[in-house]
Amino acid sequence: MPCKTYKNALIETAASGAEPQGDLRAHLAGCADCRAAFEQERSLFASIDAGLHVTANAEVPASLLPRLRARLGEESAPRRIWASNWLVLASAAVMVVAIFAARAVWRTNVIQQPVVKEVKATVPPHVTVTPQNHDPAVEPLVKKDDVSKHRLAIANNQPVHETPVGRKTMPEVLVPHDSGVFTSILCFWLRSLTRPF
Amino acid sequence: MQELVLVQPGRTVGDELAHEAALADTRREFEERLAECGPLAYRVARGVLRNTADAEDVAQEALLRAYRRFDRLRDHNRFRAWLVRIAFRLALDRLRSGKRRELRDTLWSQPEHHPPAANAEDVAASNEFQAHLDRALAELPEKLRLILLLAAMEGHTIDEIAATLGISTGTVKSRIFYARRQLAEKLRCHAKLIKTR
Repeated sequence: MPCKTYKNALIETAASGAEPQGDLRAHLAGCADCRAAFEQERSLFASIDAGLHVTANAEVPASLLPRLRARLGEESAPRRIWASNWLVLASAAVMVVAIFAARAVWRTNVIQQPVVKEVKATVPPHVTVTPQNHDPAVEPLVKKDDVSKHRLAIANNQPVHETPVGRKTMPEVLVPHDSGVFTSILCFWLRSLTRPF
Repeated sequence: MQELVLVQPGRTVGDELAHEAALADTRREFEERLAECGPLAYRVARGVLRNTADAEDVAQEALLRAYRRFDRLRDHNRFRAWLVRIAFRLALDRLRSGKRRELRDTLWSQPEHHPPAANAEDVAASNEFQAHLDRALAELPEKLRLILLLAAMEGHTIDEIAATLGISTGTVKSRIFYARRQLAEKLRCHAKLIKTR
């Protein structure tokens, strides 16, 4: 056991790593217990320092930097091939319009063809319309000129010769096979432009 | 073939190319520091975590985080200090999460992790004392622990540590002194381990 008077001085001197000075040095020269305690403290601090050295200077794994460089490469690799922003948006818009146009043209053809056949089969070519037997359901299919004639005839209390309802069919144009879709889209746009609201 | 670049909304191609060039400069500058600072980040992390695998993960994360925010660092000469803080903070977070605590303890107890040493280092490298030392180190306040690790790393002078942490050299010295004394207090009861080896 070290002497109580010098115990703290022993520890602090050992902790600082300095050599004992003054009274402590003289005491250590004459006190074997304090000298042993001092050596033990110095040994403890030396072991602590050595242990810290081992902990703080651990060998760096060889995979650290290669792995990191690979991840850095992933981080800074946005070089995908793209067009400029407006061009991408315009292309996307054209694609969407083309898809809808093609779908609308297809649906129009599919729906109109059977209706035309059915009307041709059921409605006689000439119908005499009088105020008594006039069917308003037929009126939307009648041309504007016919409507005027029809109303004039009704006003004059005369029979009216109605134009054939089923004759309103789609015009057909023969185009090369490879430009069929383009022509369909063009027709759709033209129809949509001329269609009354 | 024409090379195209990815453009973000609101940016022109010219802006994008300038941004790409700036990114390349940032990466070049960062990689220049990597060889020196990669091991530093790893050792700080390992000093806290005491596990090679965890330390490597944390070092990678710290370096990636530093890379992502590198352009925000006003004074690039403060990079080391900045990285040390990031690595230390991440390592503490990982330690607190405790997800791999059992694995870490298991790996740490394996003797092949300790390099051979001589004299005092030989004693300190003994598994039992080293385990006590690491436990005592983990119980130290954070600022004392970090300063001890930095002081124990090869090539770190007191002035460099002071510059790294932004404190005075006197503060560094006093913190090292108190940290070593606290470690000695905790390890004194294990001093027999030193004597017997």
